[in-house]
This record gives sequence, C-alpha cells and structure tokens, in this order.
Amino acid sequence: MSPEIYDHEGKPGAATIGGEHDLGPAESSSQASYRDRAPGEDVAHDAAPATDIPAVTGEEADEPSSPEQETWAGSRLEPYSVGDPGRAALEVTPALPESPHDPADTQLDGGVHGPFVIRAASMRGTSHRYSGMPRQDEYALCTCGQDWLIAAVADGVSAGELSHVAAALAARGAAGFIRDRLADSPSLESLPWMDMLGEVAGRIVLHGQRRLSSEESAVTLTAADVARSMATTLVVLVVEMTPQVDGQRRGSVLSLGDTSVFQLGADGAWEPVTSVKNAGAAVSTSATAALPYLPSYAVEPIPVVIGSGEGLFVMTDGVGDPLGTGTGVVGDFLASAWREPPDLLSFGAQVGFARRSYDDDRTVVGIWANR
Amino acid sequence: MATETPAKAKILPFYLLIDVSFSMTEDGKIEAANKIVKELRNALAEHPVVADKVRFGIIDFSEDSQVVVPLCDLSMFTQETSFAPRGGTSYVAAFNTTRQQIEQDVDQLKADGFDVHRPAVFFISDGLPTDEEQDWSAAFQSLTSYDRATKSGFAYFPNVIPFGIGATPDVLRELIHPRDRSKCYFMKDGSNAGEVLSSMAQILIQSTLMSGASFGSGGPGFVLPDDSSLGENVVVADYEDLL
Repeated sequence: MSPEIYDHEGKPGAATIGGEHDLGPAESSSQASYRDRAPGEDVAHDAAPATDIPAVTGEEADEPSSPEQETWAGSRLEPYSVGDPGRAALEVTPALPESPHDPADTQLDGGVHGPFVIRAASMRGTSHRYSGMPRQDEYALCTCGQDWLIAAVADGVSAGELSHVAAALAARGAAGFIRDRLADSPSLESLPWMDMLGEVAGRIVLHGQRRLSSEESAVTLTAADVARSMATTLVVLVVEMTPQVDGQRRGSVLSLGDTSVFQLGADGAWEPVTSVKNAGAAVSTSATAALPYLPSYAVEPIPVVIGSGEGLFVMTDGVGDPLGTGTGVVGDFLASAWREPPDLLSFGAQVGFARRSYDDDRTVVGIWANR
Repeated sequence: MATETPAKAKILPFYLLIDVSFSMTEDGKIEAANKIVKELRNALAEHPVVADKVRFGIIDFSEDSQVVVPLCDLSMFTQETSFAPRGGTSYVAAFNTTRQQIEQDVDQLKADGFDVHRPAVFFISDGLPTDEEQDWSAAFQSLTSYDRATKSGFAYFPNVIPFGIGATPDVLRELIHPRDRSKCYFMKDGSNAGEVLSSMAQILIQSTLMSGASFGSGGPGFVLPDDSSLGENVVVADYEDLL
C-alpha cells in the first residue's frame, strides 16, 4: 500500500496518492474520489459498470491489488495584511463570549440572485476579540421575489452593552420593512424611508424597555434611556432586478450614521456612494448619528446604478474607515481581490485583513453584477 | 486637512505633562513619577490593541519645560527615563511647550498619512504656579481654545485632565478641559503624596487603556475610569463640583 502523502503546495491535480494505479472496481462507480476530476468533468463517463458497494477504505479491502487511498488537497488560508499589520492582529487571542445569546464571532453568506452574485461577511475586530465583547455589526440580506434584492448593514454603537441587539433589530427590521413595502407597492420612488427609520427606532425602544426595565421596576424608560444601552447606525441598499433599456439596474441607498456604500467600477476604481467620514476635519472624530435617535431632518435616499461588471459594497466603518476614499493601498487591495466575486471563505478572509489600528468589527455585503 | 488619501493608521496621542520642581523630591513623588513611565510601557506592551493606536509623549516643567520623551509608541521605547528636578513651577512654560509640541506632532503625523484623533494631556503638579494667574490662564487659553465657526485658536486643542498632589482644587479646576467631559483628581488631605501619585498613575493608565480600546471602534476616544475604581487617597471632581 502506498504510504500516505499529500501535497503541501496544494497544486491542483498534484495530490495523487496511488495515482499510478488503475481505478479499482469499488472506486470506479459514482463514488469515485474528487481528487482527479477536472472541474466540470462528468464522473459517469468513465464509470465502469456500477456496483452498489460503497467505497471502502484500504484497511477493509483484502483484494490482492490494493485499492487506491483517498487523499486531500488544498492548503491553509493565509491571513491578509495590508501595509503595517500592527501588533493586535498577530498577538490577540480571541476571547469567547460569556453569554450563549451573543452573536457568532464570524458570519458568512453567499449566493446568486438573477444576474447578481452576493457575498456577505461580518466578524469581530481585534478589539472585541481581545475584550470578549460580542460582535456589534450585523447585516441582513433578502430578496423580494425575482424583482428586488435588499441588503441592510448596522453597526451597534460601542458604548452600549446591548448595541449588538440594536444592530440586529435594525438590520433585520429595516430589510423586512422594505421588503414588505416593495411587495405592496413595487417602486423605488415611493419607499417610505422615514417610516422605516421610525419603525426600526420604535422596535429598539420597545425591546430596550422590556429588556432593561425588569431591574428598574415600574419606571418606563425613555428613548434616551434606551439609547444609552443600545444604539446603532443603519444603511439599506435596494436594487431593482429588472434592467433599464441600457442594461443597467437602478437602486437606492438610505444611510444613517457612518455605515456606507461604495461602488467598484468595471475599471477597478472605487466610488463612495455615501459621504466619507471626517472629510475636511482638523482632527478626526468617531461621533456618529444612531438609532433610536431619529434625525431631525428628512434623510434623503441616494440613487445608485449598477452596470455589468460593477459591484456595490455595503459596509460598516470597520472597513469603510481604512478604505477611506478608496484611493490608497486598502482600496487597491480590495479592488483587486473583488474584481470578480471570490469564494466565500476568501471573501471572509479579505474582509478580515490586518492593518494597524483598524480593530473595529468588520462587515461587508458585496453585490456583483455579472459581466 | 482631511484624509484625501486614506490613512495609514488611526492615532490617539497622549501627553504626560509633569511637574519636576524641587518639591517633587519630597515624599517619594519623583520616584513615583519615574515609575509611571515604566508602568505605562508595561501596560501598553500587554495590550497590543491599544498599543497599535496610542502614542505617548512626555514633557516635564519647572521654571522651563522640556520634551523628555518625544511622541512615540511607548511599548517600543526601551530607553530608561528619569526626571531631573529643577527650580520653579511655570505653568506658562508647561502649556506653551505642550501647545508647540502638539502642533508639531499632529502636523507631522498627518503629513505622514496618519489619521490623528484629538490629543489628551495628563497634567500632574505638586504645587501652585510661580507665574501670575493672568499669564498661566492666558497660556492655558492658547492651548485649549478653538472657535469652530471662525476657525480661530488651536484646532488640535487637547482634552486636559489635571492631577494635583499639592496644587489646590481652585487652580486645578481651571485646568479641566473640556469642562463638561473632563475631570480633575487631587489628593485627599493627610495622604502621602508619593502614594497618591501612584494611585493617580493607575487612573492615568486605565484612562489610556480604556480610551485606546474604545477609540476606533465607534467609541468616544477619551474615557476616564469609573469613579468607584479610584484609590482611597484620591478625590475626583468635575468643574461644577468645585465651583
């Protein structure tokens, strides 16, 4: 029997234990291992007469010609770092959550809807990994039939001990609210954005009052009381699936606070859809607008258009801050990594790139329009 | 100006502005002061998340004022530092040097492509200023006042947290900035000043760690520890408390 080996370099097709042998009968059926199959190659073509015997490992087979042993390929994901990675990314050992209700450290999603490929990743930054605090970023993704794609991203304000709950309520509540309205009245123009903010703020306050007042007896907490414990930014992107006559698809963005949307052009250039934080300030600040406080002015939706080969990225400031205007090394890195939709785990690793001092939670929902 | 090209890293600059007048040699105060630097360095070495963002500069003052440790990543600063006592207690010299140093440091960091957040100054004094009140008051104004509408004054004005081990509360009160968010700390009567300074060092370190941890993840970037965690020999007060 061949000794066990595997290919450290993970070259496709190079990991071939026993590759010199003929396919034994047990492996020649549809149970044949994946290792030698080229992408798209139909296994059934080279199948010998089928048998019902499942593939077994070498130990159990005592035929004189030893059957091939299954093997594996691939290699460890290398973390990304952009510029100076800093000490935290290399030294911090993540602390586990105290509460079983805390959100997962990392959440990933991916899929296809009509002409769009979607990738989503949300993860704790080194700061929360170090302190053991829960991830305060959240996203929600949903479709409304074959007509609409909706993505919402929320960033819980760090000072509140329940801000991760506010973020979850906001992202899911907003995406659900918009989905329901689109089902009733399928038009980008008539979306009641201020009602959406009001509804989400109301849910946060209600939840906060229930959750926080148990200890503080009969006193009804005000919205301001709740906001001290749970507050969140919110950005929502809606994209219309039906193209315009020029083949482009329209969308709309509503943003409250420093969660943002960027567009990646087919030429690889970043274009901020929402305004860039701290532009024009003498020294920077982390201050942001956040629900359940409602803005005193009418927040205007921002129109967007996505054409083939372009991408829209909804993100929290954990990625938005280092990306800035998209003209630096972080912009170059993400533009090259996201020219095409990467596989899901790579997308997660890219969102989690290491860069000194950028230790906030990270969330990106990426939407690519097929070329 | 703003980040036209995205920043290399976010930076939260801290300054320790410390009195080295001759009276600091009494009650083990100067020894306690020397220990602060070592303890700060150790704390930052143990907290990589904070050390990635915080820079520390150390300035002393007596009748004049000098930069002892230029703004740096203190966790990587291996040189031994000790304060050399000199005569006089000039707050004017202290504030002028600090303003000049902040301006130079922030300009340089921004030119180097860093995203600089508002600095904070931990001010430690064991006595009253030897300058006229109107003079040190004017120097403090020059360090801390800025009018956003007209953009006149010092745009990089720091948050100031005064610590007094002998300086009286009515003077310390005037050095709280901004008055609605900062506080001052002073020693309880009858305490040993050296021990009080050690307690204050813990407050200063806690503030640095908490500010560094909160900043950059949407937090305020300037945090003072909870009043309940103070040493028994330290009193905390905000501006209103001392009126």
